[in-house]
Amino acid sequence: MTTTKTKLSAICAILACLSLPLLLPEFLVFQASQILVYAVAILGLNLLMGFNGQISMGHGAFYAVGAYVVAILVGHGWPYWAVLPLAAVVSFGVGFFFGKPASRLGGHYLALATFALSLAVPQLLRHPALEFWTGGSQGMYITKPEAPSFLPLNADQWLYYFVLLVAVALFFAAHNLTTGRVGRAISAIRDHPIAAESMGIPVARLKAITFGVSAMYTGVAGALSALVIQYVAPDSFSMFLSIFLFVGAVIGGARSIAGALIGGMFIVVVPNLTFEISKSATGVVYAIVLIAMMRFAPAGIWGFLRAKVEAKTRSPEEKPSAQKANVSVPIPQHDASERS
Amino acid sequence: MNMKFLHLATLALACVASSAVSAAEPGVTDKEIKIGQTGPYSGPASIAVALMQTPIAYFKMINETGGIHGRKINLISLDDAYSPPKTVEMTRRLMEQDNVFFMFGQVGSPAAAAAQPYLNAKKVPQLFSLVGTSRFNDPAKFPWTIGTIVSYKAEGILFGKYIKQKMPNAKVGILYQNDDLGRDYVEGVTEGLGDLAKSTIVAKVSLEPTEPTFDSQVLALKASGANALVIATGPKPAVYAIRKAGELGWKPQTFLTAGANSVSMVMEPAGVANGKGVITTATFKDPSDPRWQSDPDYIEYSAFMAKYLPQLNKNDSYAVMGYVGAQLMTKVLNDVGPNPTREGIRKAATSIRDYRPKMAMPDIKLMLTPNDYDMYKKLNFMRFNGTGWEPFDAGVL
Repeated sequence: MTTTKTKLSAICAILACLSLPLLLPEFLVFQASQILVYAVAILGLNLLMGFNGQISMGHGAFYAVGAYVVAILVGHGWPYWAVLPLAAVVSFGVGFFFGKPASRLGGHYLALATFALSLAVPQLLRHPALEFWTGGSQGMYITKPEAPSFLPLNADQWLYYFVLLVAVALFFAAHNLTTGRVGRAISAIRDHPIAAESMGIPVARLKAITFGVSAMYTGVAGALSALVIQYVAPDSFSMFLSIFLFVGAVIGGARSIAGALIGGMFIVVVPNLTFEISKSATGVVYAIVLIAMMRFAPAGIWGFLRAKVEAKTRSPEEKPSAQKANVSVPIPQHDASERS
Repeated sequence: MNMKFLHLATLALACVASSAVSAAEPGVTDKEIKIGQTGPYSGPASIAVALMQTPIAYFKMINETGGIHGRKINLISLDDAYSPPKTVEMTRRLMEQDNVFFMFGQVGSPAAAAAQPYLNAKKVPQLFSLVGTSRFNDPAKFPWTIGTIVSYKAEGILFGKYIKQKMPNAKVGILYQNDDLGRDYVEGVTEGLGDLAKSTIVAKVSLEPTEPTFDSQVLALKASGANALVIATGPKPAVYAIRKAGELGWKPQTFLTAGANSVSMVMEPAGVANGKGVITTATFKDPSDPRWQSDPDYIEYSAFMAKYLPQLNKNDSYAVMGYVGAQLMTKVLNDVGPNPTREGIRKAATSIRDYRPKMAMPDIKLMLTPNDYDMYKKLNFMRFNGTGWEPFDAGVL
């Protein structure tokens, strides 16, 4: 692709993103907001799983934390845009608090520990002791944020732009993080923790911090989701949420930033499509799609696309590099982590 | 100009054009009425799939005889995997893309609750949600959310009243599920007991339906000295509780929620000897109860299931609930007349008086008024005699 073509495509994409809510009907704008929210949530998971090599089957818990922070504070009259930074801080705290001891666990044990978290959260939210704050199994409603009066936008359009702004900022930050020095340290921990440690990288501490940052991303996504859906209840944050975020991360391409957006689109749109194909066996069709993805695009959709582009731009004399090298599911580092 | 941009612009224009659909009353044409529903076709609650499949089959049957006021009923049912965010998405899709007339039979309390504010803000009827919690009886705040298929609170109130009138010196223990269902019962029993509530209720023990056993809860209740036990749970914990009480030799007067009183699914696994004397109320006739074998309702229901839903188990209580819900819907559509409006639907729904759907118990008379959306005022009491449920006149006022 020539640079002019890439630039024009980029401008088209930006224009499409910005004009979308003005051209599409309200329902599709709402769906677009949902996709962006899940994309941010999955981005958090990618930072942890794809870039840092720590598997999490419990990110729904942090999503719930962010959502309930918004629900509780907005319910007490706080403006929604002020609550968002607070939700970020709280999610980071919870993530760091969980990540610190969890940094000692590797591979399957960490997956189990995070899965346990995903099971515990709905029950905690229902617990009578916390009911005063969480609304118990009844859940809580959140008033829909309205557009500022000087803008001729309806609530759905405004919310889309708000979510888009936050998402773009977070994606940009993630890109900077992963391509910078700290990002390289984070990736080094994934690839070879012992070598990383011996190079002076504080592995345990950085793993915990990455956990915190990852939880913060997913927590902010949860906070945004509370504004988009306007309702939180323990049933919204079941273990299936954690599983679907995991699916989105792997399918999109866990080792990439852009893969998160693809993952978000996948988990919102594909279940609707599989239901069109079969009402009574919608889960089976979904499973077939997942298996097909794993067979034909093991590096996730983004990995698949990137490999195709690379194959095209490579000159005919060069040998095609092993595309399997881009495996995005982190290889559990048993020996290394058990020792640390 | 870039071709890509041109394509994008065309696509955008097409979207705008296709969305500019307007009808006098959305979802109603000369030939058809479109109704929307959401439910768990996938996910943890997909066992209740009969709640969606039965109304769809029932309307198919109605359509075969010409529909209602000359219009076919098109029930569009979408999967929400029992996840409230998905319910909101599917409800909005049905409303904004499929332009349904109103929503019917949404399954699951959290799911229906998620869609409640949206539908009420748009003044769209949310009828006969397949739930039982009292939060859906709020005509002041949510006037468009009308009717539930069972009422947990009403049953709890009746149990409380029974105890107050027949067992005023009882010590009551309540075993309840830690969700809306359980909470409604606790509230209902407390309300039914009235001024005796504080002195009579000695223990309230909660459980999570996903726990593997419930022995500790039953032991705690026995230790509290209760001689009356209210079981407000789903079928699985009820089986454990009745069986464990029997094993412990503990014989309180047990009151069992109607949602967990199936003979084949609860009483038999719990042990019929342990279940003797248990009191429950009945909203619907249990297809697996031998008592109804020659009942005309049962025969008609059986034939309907055999013809339209042969793949389902006709003893599935969800099928019965779906069957009753579909009849309620049909009645409202009939009553609203040949020129239905959303307001008209609301009026017709809140004018139901003394109606007994088929497969509802003989004494049931459903009533919905503009001020009270709890349909069930009177429920039949039944007592387990070791083989089946025997109705008796509890004389509860």
